[in-house]
Amino acid sequence: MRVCALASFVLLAPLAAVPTAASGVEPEVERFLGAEFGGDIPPPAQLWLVGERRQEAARILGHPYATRRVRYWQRDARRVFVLEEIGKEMPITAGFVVAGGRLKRVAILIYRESRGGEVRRGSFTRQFEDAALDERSFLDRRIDGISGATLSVGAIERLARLALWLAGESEKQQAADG
Amino acid sequence: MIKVPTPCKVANGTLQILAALHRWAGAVSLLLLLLLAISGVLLNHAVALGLDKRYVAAGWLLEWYGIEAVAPQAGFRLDDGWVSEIDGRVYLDRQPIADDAGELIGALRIGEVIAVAIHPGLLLLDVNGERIDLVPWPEIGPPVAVGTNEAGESLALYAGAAYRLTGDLLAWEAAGRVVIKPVTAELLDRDLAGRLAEIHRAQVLTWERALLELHAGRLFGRAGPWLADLAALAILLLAASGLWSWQARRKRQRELFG
Repeated sequence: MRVCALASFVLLAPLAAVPTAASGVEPEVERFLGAEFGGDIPPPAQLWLVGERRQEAARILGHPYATRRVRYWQRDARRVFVLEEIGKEMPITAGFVVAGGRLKRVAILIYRESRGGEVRRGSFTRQFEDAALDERSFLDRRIDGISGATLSVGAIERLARLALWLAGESEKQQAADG
Repeated sequence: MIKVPTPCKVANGTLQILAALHRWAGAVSLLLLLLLAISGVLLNHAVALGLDKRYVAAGWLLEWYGIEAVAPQAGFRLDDGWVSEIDGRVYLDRQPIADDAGELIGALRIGEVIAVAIHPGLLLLDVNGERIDLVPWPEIGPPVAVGTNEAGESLALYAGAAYRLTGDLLAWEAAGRVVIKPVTAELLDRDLAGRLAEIHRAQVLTWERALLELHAGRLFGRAGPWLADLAALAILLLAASGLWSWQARRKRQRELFG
C-alpha cells in the first residue's frame, strides 16, 4: 500500500490538458456502448437491487448479484445492461441489448478466466438473439453448451436471464415514476 | 560337468523374478497411487464440493507452504473503522471487500456510502460493507490519490488533472480548478493489524489449490515431481511385469499340459 506522499493536506490541482469527458466505464464497455448507440452514448440510468428485487435477482442467479446497483443505458425502447458473473474463479463482463422483452445482442466484453474463452465466439452468443423469458424466468429456448466451457456458458445464460428480467423491472420503474 | 537347466526351471526362475518385481513395484506405488486417485477424484468434483471456496486453516500446512502472516502497516481511517490491504485483498476492518484490487489508493466517506479507491475503480459500499457498485476510473487510469473539496465532492487526483465524481455516483467529470484535501494513510491500529494478518493467512490457500499441488506432487517441494515420476514409472513396471508374468505362465501351462 502506498503511504501517501502527499504530505500537505491542501492541494491545488494543476489544470493543463484535462480531458473534457470521462464516462467511468472500462474501455471495452465504452466501445460496446459506442457501437450500440452510434457513438452517442446516453447517460447511464440506475436500478437498485434492494428488497424483493434483490431476492428475485438472487433466485435467477442462484446467489445475490455482486452489486446492489445496476447501471444501464437506454435510448427509446432499447436498453443496454453490462453485467458481471463469475464463471469459475474470475468475473466475466458481458453486454446485453434488450428491446421489446427480447435479447437483441449479447457480447462478452471482458473475459478473465484462463479457460472457457470460447463463449466469446459469435456462434455461441448469436444463440441468444431474440430469446425471451418464460413464466419461470428461464430462457424460452435451449442454449447449446461448449465442451470445456460449461461454467462460463452457465454464467452467460444466467446473466442473459437477469438482463431480460432487469429490463422488465426498469420498464416497471419508469412507468411507476411517470 | 556343466548342468544345463531344464526349460521348466528357467520358467520358474523368470516367474519368481517377475513376481518379485511386480510386488515391489506395487508396494512402491501404492501410497502414491492412493494419493493420486483420491486427490484426482476430489479435484474432479472440487466445485460441487465447494473446495474452491474453502480455505486451509491448518497452521502446519500453511507453514509448509511458506504462507506467513503479514500484518499491514498502514490503512485509511474512516469515522468508524479502517480500510487496509494485504496482497491486493482489501479489508473494511476485518471484512474482506475486494480481491485482486492492486494497491489501495485511499478511502473516504460520501454520506452513507464508503468509497474505496482501488486499482480497477472507486468501490462503493454501504455501511455494512455490501458492494453497491464499482465506478471505473476515467480513461487515464487509477489516480495517485482521492480526496474531497470544500463542497464535500469526491475527487480523483492525477498529475496535472482532477476528476469529480458526479452527484449520482455514476461517473467522473473533469473537475477544472479545485482545491483538494487528499486522504492520507495512517499507521494501522496494532491489534487490528495483527488480527488481519491471521485472518488473511487463513484465507489464502483453497483446498482445491492444495489438492492440485498434492496431485501434481508440487506439495513436496523439489522432490515432488520426482516422486510423481517414480509413481508413473512404478505403474509402467506394474503393467509390464504383470503382462510378462501372465505370458510366462500361459507359456509354461502350454508346455506342461500341451
